[in-house]
Amino acid sequence: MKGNEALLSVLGSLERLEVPYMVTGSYATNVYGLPRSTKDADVIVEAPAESVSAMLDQLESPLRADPQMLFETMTSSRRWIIGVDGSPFVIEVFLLNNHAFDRSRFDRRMRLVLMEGVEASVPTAEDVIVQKLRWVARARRDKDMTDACNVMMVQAGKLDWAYIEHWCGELGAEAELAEARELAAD
Amino acid sequence: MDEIAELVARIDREKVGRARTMSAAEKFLAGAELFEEACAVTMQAIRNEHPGFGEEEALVELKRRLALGARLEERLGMARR
Repeated sequence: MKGNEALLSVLGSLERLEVPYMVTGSYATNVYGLPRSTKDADVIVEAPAESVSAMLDQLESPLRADPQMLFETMTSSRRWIIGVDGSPFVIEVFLLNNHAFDRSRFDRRMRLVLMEGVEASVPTAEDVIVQKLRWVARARRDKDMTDACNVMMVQAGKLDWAYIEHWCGELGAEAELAEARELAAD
Repeated sequence: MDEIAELVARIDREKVGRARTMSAAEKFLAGAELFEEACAVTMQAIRNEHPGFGEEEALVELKRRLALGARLEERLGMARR
């Protein structure tokens, strides 16, 4: 099973169970920026942990969920890892936390039509930029700054800068926003 | 701007232009497809390097190399903090 088939299978289960979710990380960045290779898919769900565990227990081969729920210290999120037999591709499922920005971007998520009858929920371009700059401020990863700049360049003229400035200010990422805007300027 | 910097800027502009012509759905699916193509090339290189490896051993080596890349990325981030 390929990575996209695995992800669409998991999203299909979430849709059938009417669990609110959104696909974040590289998948969302690719929607708005320059497509780049990704070895994992990140999915945020709004549901009780027990419901997520029960859903993951129902997965069938070649998908297998790590039975152990993990705690992500960087984001204070609980998560599960779904592996795909015969592939290094993984899907990480995170529980939505109560951070104001995380709630805001989840509430603003959009529906993306992937093919006839298949849709997925993803964050907005503004929320992808803010999340990337939030990570730059905390983890200093080059790829996050590159991703934020790529989204700014590809989406030039379509972004709600007041929203981006508001959340970068709230999250202490003003310097990173200024740097990204300079790098992404024509 | 020197010649190399100009070339890099031109390539970047072209990449942005190409990305604007792709649909959001195509781009959503592109990341895993690119990863699978890259993994297929690396798996072939691993098989060439280790002719005795079966599929499972080659996959273990691929995962080891991917973990090395992730660790390097983490170290670079820590060095910048």
